[in-house]
Amino acid sequence: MKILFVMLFSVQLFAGTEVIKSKDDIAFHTPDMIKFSDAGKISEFRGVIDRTYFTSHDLKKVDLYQFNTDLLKVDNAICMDFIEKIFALSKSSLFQVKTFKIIDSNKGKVCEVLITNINKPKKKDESYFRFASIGFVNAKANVLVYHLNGIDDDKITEARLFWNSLR
Amino acid sequence: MNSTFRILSLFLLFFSANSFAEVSCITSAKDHESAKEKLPKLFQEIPVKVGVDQPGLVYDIFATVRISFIGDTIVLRTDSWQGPYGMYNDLSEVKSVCFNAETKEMVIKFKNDKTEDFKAKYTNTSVTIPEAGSKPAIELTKLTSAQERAILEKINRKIPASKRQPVDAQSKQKELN
Repeated sequence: MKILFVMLFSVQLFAGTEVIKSKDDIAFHTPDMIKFSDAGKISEFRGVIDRTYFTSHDLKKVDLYQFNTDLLKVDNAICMDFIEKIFALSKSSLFQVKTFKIIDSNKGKVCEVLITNINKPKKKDESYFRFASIGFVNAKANVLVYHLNGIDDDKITEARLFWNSLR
Repeated sequence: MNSTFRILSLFLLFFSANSFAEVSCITSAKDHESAKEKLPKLFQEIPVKVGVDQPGLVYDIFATVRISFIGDTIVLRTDSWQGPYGMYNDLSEVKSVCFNAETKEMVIKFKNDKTEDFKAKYTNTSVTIPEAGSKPAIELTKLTSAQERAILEKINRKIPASKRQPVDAQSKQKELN
């Protein structure tokens, strides 16, 4: 019985160290692993999710931020607070919020924010669009940020499916 | 006489300490134009392109780092392939880049005040990012535009074309509902 308890406790401890889980195949890379990934990032940046089954360039890697908050409600204020912290938005910023909406997901409300670089690139460039999904997973505030070379309904659908896959 | 000597000594001490800690900074395109002469040779022309092309058996890294101006703003752009983790790229707005002529250390402060500074060592032809955590130190050497393009092509070649079937938006939507 004692052994079983110790084993269960160890499993719990191990589970507690996992930053994020998904029904999809993912690998998680901490900022320690990937050079430059934490350059210009705030301390709530946890690392990069690699959607291993994906080979297309701009939906494969997702930046993950996790915030500590007592509020567990998704609304405009909390989402914009996180986005402003991540991107340090101001009138003179290169990045500006283009669209903002709150949708329903299998984990409750989720904010979807499209951020664009005001400097239009000459060719397709992953640094041009950022798409953020913001909501709660297991009572923890998560922000997923995609770097996209373009935006269309398929990509938004993929981002929603991935959000729904989180556990 | 004694107090005059003390003041003179303090003045000399202050002057010599400052001459050792000569730090030049740029915060904008305008700034760069006027501070150009004081900057390290590598940063006298912007955009500055540095990179690494280092294939390895276990850990390979292909990366380009570019400091350039968009309007008056300084931006840091990184594109990399790092085995076994794959591709990663990003763009950040920079508040200032400072160079310490004595320690040969450069410090990049980002516009987002809540972020940590990015520190590296520099020479006239390279930038070295020190070892951190499990990440080994890397030396990025000055690139011509052609060399930068070659590394970027290599990074892009490392990313296989999508094997995934095109998303059927309608069936995905059904899954969502």
